[in-house]
Amino acid sequence: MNESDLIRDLDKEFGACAQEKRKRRVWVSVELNELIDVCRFCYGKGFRHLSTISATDYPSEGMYELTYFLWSYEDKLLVTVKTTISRDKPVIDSVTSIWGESAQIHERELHELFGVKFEGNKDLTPLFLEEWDGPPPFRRDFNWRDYVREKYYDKENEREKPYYL
Amino acid sequence: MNEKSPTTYELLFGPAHPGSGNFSVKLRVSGEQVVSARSDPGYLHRGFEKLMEYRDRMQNSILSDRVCVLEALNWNLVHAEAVDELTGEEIPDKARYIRVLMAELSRIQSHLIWYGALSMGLGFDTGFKVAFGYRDYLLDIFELVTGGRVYPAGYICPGGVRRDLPDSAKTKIEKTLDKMKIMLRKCENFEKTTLYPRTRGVGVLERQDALRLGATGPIARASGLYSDVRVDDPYEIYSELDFEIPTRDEGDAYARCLLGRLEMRESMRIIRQVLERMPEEKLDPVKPKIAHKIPEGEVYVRNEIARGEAGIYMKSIGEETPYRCKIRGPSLLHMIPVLEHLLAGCQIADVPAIYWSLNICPADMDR
Amino acid sequence: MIKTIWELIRNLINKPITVRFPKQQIEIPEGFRGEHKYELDKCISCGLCSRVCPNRAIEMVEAPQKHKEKYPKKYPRIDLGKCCFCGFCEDICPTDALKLTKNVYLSTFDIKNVIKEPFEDDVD
Repeated sequence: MNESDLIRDLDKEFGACAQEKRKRRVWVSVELNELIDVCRFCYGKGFRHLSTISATDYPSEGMYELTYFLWSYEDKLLVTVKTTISRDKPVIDSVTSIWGESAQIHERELHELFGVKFEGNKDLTPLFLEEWDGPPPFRRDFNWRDYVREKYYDKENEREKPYYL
Repeated sequence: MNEKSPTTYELLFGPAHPGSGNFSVKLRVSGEQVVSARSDPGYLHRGFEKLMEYRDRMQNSILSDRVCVLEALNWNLVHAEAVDELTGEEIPDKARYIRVLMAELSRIQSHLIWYGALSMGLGFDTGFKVAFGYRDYLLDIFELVTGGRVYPAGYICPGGVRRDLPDSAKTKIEKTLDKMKIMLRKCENFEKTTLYPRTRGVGVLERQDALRLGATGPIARASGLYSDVRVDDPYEIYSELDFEIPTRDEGDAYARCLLGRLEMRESMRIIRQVLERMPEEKLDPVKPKIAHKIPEGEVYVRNEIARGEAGIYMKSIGEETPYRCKIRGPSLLHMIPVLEHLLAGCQIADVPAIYWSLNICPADMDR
Repeated sequence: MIKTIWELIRNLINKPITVRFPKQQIEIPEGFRGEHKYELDKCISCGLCSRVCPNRAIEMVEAPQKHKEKYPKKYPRIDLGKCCFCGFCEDICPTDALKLTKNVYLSTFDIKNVIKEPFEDDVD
């Protein structure tokens, strides 16, 4: 299977506008309700390795963009599946039923850093942050400079001043 | 054995353990047997993905050093490639060769740390000292070329490299490679009596588990999963070079350790080829610029670093700073699902052998 | 066994990898990124070094009273405790007024030494 075969298959199955950005890179945007079907379809096509999941925050448009990077060991292809979810109610179906543990960790990370809830993921306990009570820290509207200034700024220390100018 | 039964107790491996790095594993133990393990990361979380949204491309290449201290140059390369693909800039030929040269030297250096740490974890101090002693010869090269022993400070940066290769570098690298060859032979001699009996058959990772748990790089290749980004998805000049990817089928700690040594040998082969083909011309070094915008777009680049597959997803909306930067480190999957899977059911004495054979780096997991 | 003994004998003859540090030192190559050196006569006070610094370690300060006539503008003051020795300030400086030297002996017990003033003789 090469890039054009995959694009043709994706167009036929889902009517998605897949495009080839460069050699070995296929990008496809899908609707939220199609995501699991597309992922399952890709898994069936040999995309056994979930490289990573990423979330991008668009506060002005009120949405998160979730990006799944899938790699096929046999065909040496990387397909990127993109979907958008609402920012106010960031709930999405988990892909742990397809990729198992490896997806679980990536989802756990995103849940902690972006506050995206993955339905069907059994373990979403925080990985990195300890005793965190603020909003999810990797959102665009979370200003860490203000947060640090409020919590940790030692005004007596002259050397710290340039950080908060 | 029930997890909460009164005969089991909890044992903490790390974070203040001398041989664990900034990382901890909570082991549920019954007698000498580990019933289950739970990884507890987060001791080194610095939020690089967020920090990168506030800095421009050159400042980010400094940050990319710190993603994993043990292989700073490889992470430099990943970041530089992501920006290069966005800008579509043409990289000078010599810079591409220098990039691969430094990345491979960094790979050897990282494997030496792995070898040393594994030996130390098993109480085999000679191996540790030999590996770390010879690593210093490589650090001498980094010092000569990049100006810093451990941190290259964004030596491989978007647009090329920050300095030309000094004239004395070529002979120095060749001399060091000869020394490394002696060292590898030494290691081979040690291994039969020391590492082999302690790691043979310990922590076996089956091929389908490696696939399911998302193992990449040497860990996957030790389990018979042939995959290497340098071959499958070639970047820079790797498609022109001639090298082999060693694989093993056993999947135990010894196979992983052996693979590290074989990979060092292959890296040395690559370095010799690169030195041979290195263009003669002079190279213009890249200087930092103020208000240097990154063109709009999004990319995902993958690289093979010493520990496995590294990736950066970068989204830019045409500002100086990237809009979003997602870093994919290999250790996140090696340290949580793979480690938890391997530790369940092993003996306490085997924990360091399994832990270190996975070639982990807490820094690139926490980021 | 024979191999081990052979290795032992060889190691007895070989020189060690390490050097005896305060008495001996390994040579530091050219282009090492160590402590900074100012050449204030060249400085045109453009402030590029403080803008490019990833750690905000450089602050532009005015010269003290007694140097004011000769140096009327603002000059970089480096906080070595924040500096990551990346060398961007050296690279971006249009007049080579700021250079990185080979000096690596920077550890100190006095916090005043950590901040590198542009006018050294003024510490009173």
